[in-house]
Amino acid sequence: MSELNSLEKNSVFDSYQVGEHIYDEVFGSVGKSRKHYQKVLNHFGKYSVKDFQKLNESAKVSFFNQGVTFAVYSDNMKGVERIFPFDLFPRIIAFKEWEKLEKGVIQRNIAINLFLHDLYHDKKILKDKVVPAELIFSSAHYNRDMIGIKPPGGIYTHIAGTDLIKHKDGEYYILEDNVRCPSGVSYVLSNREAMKRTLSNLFLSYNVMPVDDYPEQLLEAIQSVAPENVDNPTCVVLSPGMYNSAYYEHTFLAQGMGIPLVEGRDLFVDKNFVYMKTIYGPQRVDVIYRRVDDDFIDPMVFKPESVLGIPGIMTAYRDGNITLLNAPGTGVSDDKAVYSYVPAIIKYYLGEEAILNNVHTYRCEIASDYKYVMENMENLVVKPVDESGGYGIFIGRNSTKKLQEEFKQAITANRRKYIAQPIMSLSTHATFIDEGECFEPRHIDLRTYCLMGKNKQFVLKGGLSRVALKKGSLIVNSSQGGGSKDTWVLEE
Amino acid sequence: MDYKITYQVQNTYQENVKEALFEFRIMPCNDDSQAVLNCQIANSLGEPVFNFNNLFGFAAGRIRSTKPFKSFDLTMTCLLQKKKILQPTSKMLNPKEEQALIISTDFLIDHHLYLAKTHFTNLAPNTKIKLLNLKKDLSIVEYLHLLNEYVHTLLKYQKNTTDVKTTAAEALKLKTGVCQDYAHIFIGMARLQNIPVRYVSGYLNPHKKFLGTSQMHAWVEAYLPNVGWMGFDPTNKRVADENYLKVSHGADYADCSPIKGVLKTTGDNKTTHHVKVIVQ
Amino acid sequence: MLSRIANSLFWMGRYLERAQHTARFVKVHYYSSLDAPLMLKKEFVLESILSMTGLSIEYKKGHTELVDVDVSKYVAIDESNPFSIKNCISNARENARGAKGLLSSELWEAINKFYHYVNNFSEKDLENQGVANFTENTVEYCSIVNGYIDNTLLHNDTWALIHLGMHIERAGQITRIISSKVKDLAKIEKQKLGVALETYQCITLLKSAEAFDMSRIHYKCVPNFKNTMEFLILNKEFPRSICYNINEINKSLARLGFAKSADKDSLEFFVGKTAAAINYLTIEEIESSIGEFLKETLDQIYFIGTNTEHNYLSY
Repeated sequence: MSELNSLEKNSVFDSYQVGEHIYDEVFGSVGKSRKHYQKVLNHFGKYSVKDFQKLNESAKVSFFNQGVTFAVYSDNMKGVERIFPFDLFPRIIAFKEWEKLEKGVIQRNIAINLFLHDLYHDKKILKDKVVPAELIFSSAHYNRDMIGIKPPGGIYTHIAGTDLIKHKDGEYYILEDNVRCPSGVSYVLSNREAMKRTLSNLFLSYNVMPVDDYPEQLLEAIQSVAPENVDNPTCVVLSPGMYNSAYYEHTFLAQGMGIPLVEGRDLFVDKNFVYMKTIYGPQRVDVIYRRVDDDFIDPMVFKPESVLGIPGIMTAYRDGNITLLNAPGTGVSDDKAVYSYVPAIIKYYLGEEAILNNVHTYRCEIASDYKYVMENMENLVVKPVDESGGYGIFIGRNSTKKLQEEFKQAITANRRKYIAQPIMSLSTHATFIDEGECFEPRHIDLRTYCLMGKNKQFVLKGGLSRVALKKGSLIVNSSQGGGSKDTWVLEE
Repeated sequence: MDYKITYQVQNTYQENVKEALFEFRIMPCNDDSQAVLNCQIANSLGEPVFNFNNLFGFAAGRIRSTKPFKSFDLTMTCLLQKKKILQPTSKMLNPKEEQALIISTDFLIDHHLYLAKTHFTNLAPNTKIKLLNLKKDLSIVEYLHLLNEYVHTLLKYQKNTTDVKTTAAEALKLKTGVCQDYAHIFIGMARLQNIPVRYVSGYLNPHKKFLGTSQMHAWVEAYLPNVGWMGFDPTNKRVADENYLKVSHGADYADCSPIKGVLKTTGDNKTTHHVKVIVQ
Repeated sequence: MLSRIANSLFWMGRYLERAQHTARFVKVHYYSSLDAPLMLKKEFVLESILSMTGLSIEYKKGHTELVDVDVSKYVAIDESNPFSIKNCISNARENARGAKGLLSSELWEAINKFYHYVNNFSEKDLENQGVANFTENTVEYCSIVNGYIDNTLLHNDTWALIHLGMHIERAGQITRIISSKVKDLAKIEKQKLGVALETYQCITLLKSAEAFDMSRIHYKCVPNFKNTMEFLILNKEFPRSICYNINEINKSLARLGFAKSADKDSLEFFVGKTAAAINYLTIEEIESSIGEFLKETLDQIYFIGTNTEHNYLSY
């Protein structure tokens, strides 16, 4: 990892400056590149800035042609279709580094599934006081309708989108466990497609592990958890509909797996079985990969005004007549206050130390942590425990006094709702910046995709490297000005 | 004593209902003090009823229709045998033991469903009311009797001032309400003291001069450590006895609403309920 | 196939067809009004356009005068008019989008491109380029899309549903077009304007259905009222005759096989009976009461459309 090579004089990298106390994925220090990036740098060295702009353009066209867009809706409800900004410089992960990461992600998700099963059954971990019971029962995502339900194969989080970052010490840290409805995997596959089209020679010069088997793997996982005694399960993808910002991904996955894409209004429950309305009459459905949030899945039980769900489906689920992926109520384990207990959870169920690091987390609910947070706002990141997508986050560095005060008040008013973490210095990666006409370091993270089926664990070899395109910014979410890179995991 | 209970609901809709799923919890349950001898349900749509047990183990029914309709009637008739409720015989703990027990982790884990701060029952810990603190030398059962009488004084029984969406906090502000509001306030207060309480729906003996006999009634059951569940009716300032015919219980009204539905229609609708209880 | 998706395919077909007929009718009338043989009043043409599209009453709610710029704007691009060409294409595309998983990417891209053209066509463009240009391009785009429908899809239930929608809509539109011309001709007769104008009106009518050349080849004479009506209503080989389209509806329904049995109350039975009736009809039987015949036919087509959706495509 620390093998550095010196780089030939090269105009597009001339002004590249690695920030202080920051780990750069490509360059160790000025002019010295990491070994596995050497071929990329040599390849890019042959290009002029103009060539790059051309390549960039052609990649963009590739996305438009593939139709990889997300819709942004304004007042008049006419969607403007945009592409998720894509950067041509691939992020490369060496095999050894990946191996550990993959093991760590699987270990974490196995433990989380055991944890969820325990929470909705015997609650041993609470009785043993490893995780505080109050914390669980006060979580907005603890779902009492899951009590006593045993999903097929004991799997709750069939699809997990674990987010990681690399800190200045060169180590990976888990940032979030996204185990509700993680999205973005279609970008991983489309990025790869665009990369192969635009930089085929460079791609061929590396042994990159494939990502395009994801739909097959997902289908296998989905079919493996069909209700008992169903031989040829009918599986569907449930989408909130075409006005959802991730609709493209829903169609992409359904098509990739060759299964129907349905909406709530296509399904109904009759005598505790789920059916879809087809032109030849009702057809039984056995497994639903749902991209609709827990609260909306059954208007009979949760939000009564929801038109996205299927009334009565929770009773069918309770009876084991339908499988839902992910299971409802998984959100209790990616609550950011529960996050701080994941290493303890791993230890409790698996008797192992966590392979991947957790970021130290201050739970504002605890008096001493609360005091520390109040006194050190400028050095912390404050997050609401039950949000995802980068919403409602406070970053201490360079924050105004006014904003600090606002967050202090918000925290004090509801201490259970907030946690704080030290500001992690996300690693940077060379990224082509149009305005600067050169490569500049930008902060990145990595979302991995882990699938769990009956006797099956699979981590997509790569994942989504998200880039904060704004200089110095640490927020990589697509909804907040982030872009993405293709992520190459090299064969050994 | 035997009771004949008739529950009737009539719904009319301005526009055609194209698709509907109704769910109802109106049938009395079987437990130590009561036994259902006969129960029949008829509906105007002529659709079959799908029976199932809800999360709390109570019988519920569902009716699904895809033929357009503008009105929907449902009638339940039930013959119920009710025995005297036996007073608990096991030994109560002393107040010190009780209070140590109810703050323990295991107690929270065992009873968390009935200690939850739910939408209907949640009261802010700083709600300015008497009886909010359980005194050190007071037993839980004594506290609950006091609370029952106290909650009764907080509201004036008045129909149509609150509805099925009113929360305990809102009713407290209004100072008026019906059985459901009394029950929610009782639950909210007792849960702040770590006493598990559940919401109960059912019917009342019509011959007693109780409030709430014309409709389904609501009361509560509180958990006495080492003893079990005991019923209180803050609306009538009474302990629930053999005049209380239970249908189901849950964390709050949302778990016990007599009938609800998810419908495809536009326009207004009107609902009327009738309850008739006859002592046989 | 999901009923909702089937519904989308059905309506995609209908909206595409509706846009095409509206565009062609406007185009043909616009051109023909330029070289009308007699002093045909402009209002007469505009009224005819509005009546064919069924928008006369709605238009008059928002406008006091019949001005050609207003009428073309209203029919072509007005978003407040639910059946303007712009809204039809917009709806066709939304329906296609919902069913994208079953379409070829070539077809989807063609519809999308069509949509972008229509959607970007502004009032200013209409003023500068005129309605003729817009409607001509619309007709052409429709032909391209139809080509992709026939040549890039499997001829399975997806295709059959689009076709069912198209032929129901086409049967309806053709009936309306003939109807509105028959009314025009009735007015002319009252004014006693002679044979030249009858011929002129028949030519316009045939052109509105892109039927002029084929009809000439078929009859080898100048169009008159009788042969024009026979061609557009009863010809079995011409794809825009009413008879042809009812036969296509019958075939599409049979291909889809929704009904398990075609008993006498089924839609399939009704359609089969309607098709048989028109197949063995002669022009002499209806010549004298053509207006009534068309009205009855239109009701039958509407009945078929409504019941197809209600019986098989509701969700």
